[in-house]
Amino acid sequence: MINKIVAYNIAELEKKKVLTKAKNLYKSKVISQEQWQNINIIYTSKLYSPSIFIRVLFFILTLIGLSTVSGPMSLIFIDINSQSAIQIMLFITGVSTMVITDLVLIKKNNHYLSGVTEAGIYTGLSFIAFGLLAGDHINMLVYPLVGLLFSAFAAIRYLNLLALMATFIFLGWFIFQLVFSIGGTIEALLPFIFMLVFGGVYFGIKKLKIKLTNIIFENHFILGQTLALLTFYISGNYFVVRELSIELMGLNLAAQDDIPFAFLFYGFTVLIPITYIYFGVKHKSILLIRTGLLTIALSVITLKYYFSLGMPMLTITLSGAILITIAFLLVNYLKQMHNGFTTAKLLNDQWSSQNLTAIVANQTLGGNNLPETPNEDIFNGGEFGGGGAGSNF
Amino acid sequence: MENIYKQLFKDKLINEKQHELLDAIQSNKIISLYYELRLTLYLGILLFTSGLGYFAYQNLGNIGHILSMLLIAIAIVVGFFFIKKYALPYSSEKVTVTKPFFDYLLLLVSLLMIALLTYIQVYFDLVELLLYWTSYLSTAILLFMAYRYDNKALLAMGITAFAASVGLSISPVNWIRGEWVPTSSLYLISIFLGIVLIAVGQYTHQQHIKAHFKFTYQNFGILLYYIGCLSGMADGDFQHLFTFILLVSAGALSYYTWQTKEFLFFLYSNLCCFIAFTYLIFSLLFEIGNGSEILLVYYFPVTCITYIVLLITKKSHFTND
Repeated sequence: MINKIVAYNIAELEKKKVLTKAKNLYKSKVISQEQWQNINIIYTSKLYSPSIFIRVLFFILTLIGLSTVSGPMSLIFIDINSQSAIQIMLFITGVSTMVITDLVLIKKNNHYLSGVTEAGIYTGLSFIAFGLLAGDHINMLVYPLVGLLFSAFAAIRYLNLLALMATFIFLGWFIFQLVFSIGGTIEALLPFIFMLVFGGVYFGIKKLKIKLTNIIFENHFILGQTLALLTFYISGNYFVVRELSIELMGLNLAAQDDIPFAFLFYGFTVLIPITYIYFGVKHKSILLIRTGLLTIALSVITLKYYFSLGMPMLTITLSGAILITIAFLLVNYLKQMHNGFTTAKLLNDQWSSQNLTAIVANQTLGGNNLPETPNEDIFNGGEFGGGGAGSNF
Repeated sequence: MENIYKQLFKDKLINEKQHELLDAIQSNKIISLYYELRLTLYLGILLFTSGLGYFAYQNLGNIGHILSMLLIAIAIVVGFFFIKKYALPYSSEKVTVTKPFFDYLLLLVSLLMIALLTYIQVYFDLVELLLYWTSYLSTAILLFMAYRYDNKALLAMGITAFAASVGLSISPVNWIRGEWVPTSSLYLISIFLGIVLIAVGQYTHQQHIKAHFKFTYQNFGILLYYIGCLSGMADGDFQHLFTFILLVSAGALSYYTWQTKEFLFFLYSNLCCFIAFTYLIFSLLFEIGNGSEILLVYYFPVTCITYIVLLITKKSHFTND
């Protein structure tokens, strides 16, 4: 069943997954070099995925190459000067790109995350979508629906995480369009509908996770759950609801006025992060804890935006002090393992790559100035305005 | 496959103790808050110091300024006390200090030193007098800290500071008086500095003086070099010359990095080479005219796809790990 739906060779994919995990274990110094080498021999995968930089190169070049393919193609169709001819041309280009990517690259040459495949899938699907949707006579509901179907297709068949993200965006757009096309009082319920849907998505994914235990979907579940939780929070966030009500529904509000049911949204803004953290600690789920921490930060910013004391610097200093204290106390408390929680670094985080971290650190820590404009920053690295303690690291 | 660790254990690739640990991690019996707490602490320090710094700056009179300078100085001394306590003796090899917050401490102390330097300069009106020297001084401090305590982030900052000092002292603007001096072009400096950095990286690597710094040097060097060439290509009187230089050097570097498997540099070189090549082809075709511009429609698909196909056939050369 999975073998039919997913384009890649499942057995090879599993091997690849084992290798990635084992490499992380070796780097985290959990297994010895000898063990890692043994695993490496046994689980050698046929899948071809080059290193990240080569992937970027492949992606950029393929994207340029494929997206300009329509130029020569349109020369063929130039005589038939009509809209539908161009549409057909785009459609054919898209379908052939998809077929080549699927059959030649993935099935025959075992490409997996090679940069070429991603570029092929994205351009192929976009071409098909443009081919289908060009023209202005279509119902607005069709756009997000097609996007949703296409990105879900790419997310499942090609196990593409970016497409999974796009799926969520299109789903949100679709609900939004749907509610607006119905209109009336239901528009006011939009935040609740969003919360209902994405709450449902979260629990749906949780259910699915129990059924679909194959490790190749692991990252999909992590990303999917995180996105669902974040969207759930954002749909209840006071700031978002208020601004979007003014922006999209033409609600007239003075600066001091509250939106209808304001207390409810204030409640959501405060309670949802706390709930996340609570369940995260209770069920020991790092995903919930991380999402909880992120949403707490967002909530603090939201509340400060509306209930400012007029002393932003004092707030910053105090919150800094509070954060330091909390972190310090927790570090001390968790030096011994409590209830399964520890501060020891057990495994390297699978979402962070050493190489990329080094580059990002190089770029962000290298002072305020970019290397290519050496003349602009006089007081490189040092703080001119800050004056006092080192504020800029 | 559903459980990797179980499978590995079954295949006798990991032992029982390891399996127990990994199983506990996977089934959420043990959870590490390592990254979360670090991030919290880091954010806390960031907010606290910036808030405090701003607060002090706003609210202190003359005595306050001297007081805060003193405070920074004391903080530096205290910081150095701890650095000395934990640091290992200098070695030309890679030195790793296992204390978790050592890197943060180094960064903090170095930045405080530069902050103090700037503070003194501004407070005593020395900006005009010392302008050229401060950036060199910062460079010296950062490079010293980077080499003595083996820290790549500081090295990167040092190189940036150095680029700034060189660019500053040769730049067409007289910064102090705010005058514009129409002289040479910055991209020449960028190109030369780039070459120097690449050479320094290569030389120190060969001499085994902190050989692992090579990447940082060369990353900056190559970027500076290419960006210099690209801006020389974009303006100036010698567009075609710069394009040609870029084409040849990027081509050569592509070949070299392909051999040594330095794929980040391979990526830079390839893209630059492609840009230069495209530029030359386009200007050539426009020069010829006569409807040959129609070929441009085919240019991108044909070149990109051909090149990709060529690279893909060399599959085995760059498999991951």
